[in-house]
Amino acid sequence: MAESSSLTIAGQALPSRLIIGTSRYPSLSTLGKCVGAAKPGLLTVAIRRSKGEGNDFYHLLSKFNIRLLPNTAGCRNAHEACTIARLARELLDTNWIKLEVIADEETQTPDPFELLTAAEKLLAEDFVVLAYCTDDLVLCQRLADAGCHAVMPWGAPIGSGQGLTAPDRLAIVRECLADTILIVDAGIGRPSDATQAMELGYDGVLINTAIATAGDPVSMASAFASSVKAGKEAYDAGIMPRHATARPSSPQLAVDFTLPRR
Amino acid sequence: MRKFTVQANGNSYQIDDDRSLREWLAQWQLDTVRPFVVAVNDEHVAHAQLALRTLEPGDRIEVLTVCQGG
Repeated sequence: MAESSSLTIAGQALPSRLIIGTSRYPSLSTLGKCVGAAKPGLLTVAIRRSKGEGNDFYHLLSKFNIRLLPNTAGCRNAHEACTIARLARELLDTNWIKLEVIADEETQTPDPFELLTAAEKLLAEDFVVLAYCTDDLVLCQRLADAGCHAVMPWGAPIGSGQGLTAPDRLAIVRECLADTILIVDAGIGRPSDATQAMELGYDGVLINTAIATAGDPVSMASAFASSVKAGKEAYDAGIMPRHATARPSSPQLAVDFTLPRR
Repeated sequence: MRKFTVQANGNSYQIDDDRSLREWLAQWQLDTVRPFVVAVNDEHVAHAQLALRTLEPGDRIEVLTVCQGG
């Protein structure tokens, strides 16, 4: 049912609720096969100094009819992030930006204050902003109130593969921001983590390291695509509530077959 | 003709002021990777402006392209 309804951001219907990062793959060939297996809705890319050595990476991605989502990875304040976003706009002819402003290198923790400042500036310049943030409810609310097109709280620190370390917090964000597009970004390690995020009612997930560093990245890409679809279908189907006690699933017997004691 | 130093992608270059930014990028072979985008002193310089833009002493030029990222 609703799985057939696509994720739509800024009026653009995406072919999948799975977003894939393009870093850390063992080879460009493997990356290409993963993209083919997962058929993601978006592909994230970074902006870096040109080394004058050609760009096979870009030409590979260009073969797929998938929107590229440039990020502001490595930016430490709003000024840097806005500068990269403006450069990315011309570079890739897109006003979409995955906005991230990192405060702490070790934990890759987002800077909520600079993030919000950057989001407000870029939204005023007609960017489509997908903001990577923590699962802090107030921060997510402020980003949504600012007009971000998607709010993307982490499941766990970037690249940690810990899965959803605070599902209750993510559930509260979902409950409080019912009309906001929410995507779990970062920390997902297994397909079951992605399913869990979708079962919480999230609109999508962003995966990179879990696919890129798998023993068989192509199979893992396919597994994640299936897990996202399963989680979305389950959420839309209506998941039963948890009960503290047993609820027999078979009808109770109307007759007593208890054998007489000897 | 003035001679002065600028930085491009972290490297120092001694230049003079008789050429445009577009010509210098070609000279330094920083325009070979496509697509690319240019910033001078953190300010975006649109492709349409590269041929019109001249450089000043101490300018910091960044030539960027798309790469793998999460």
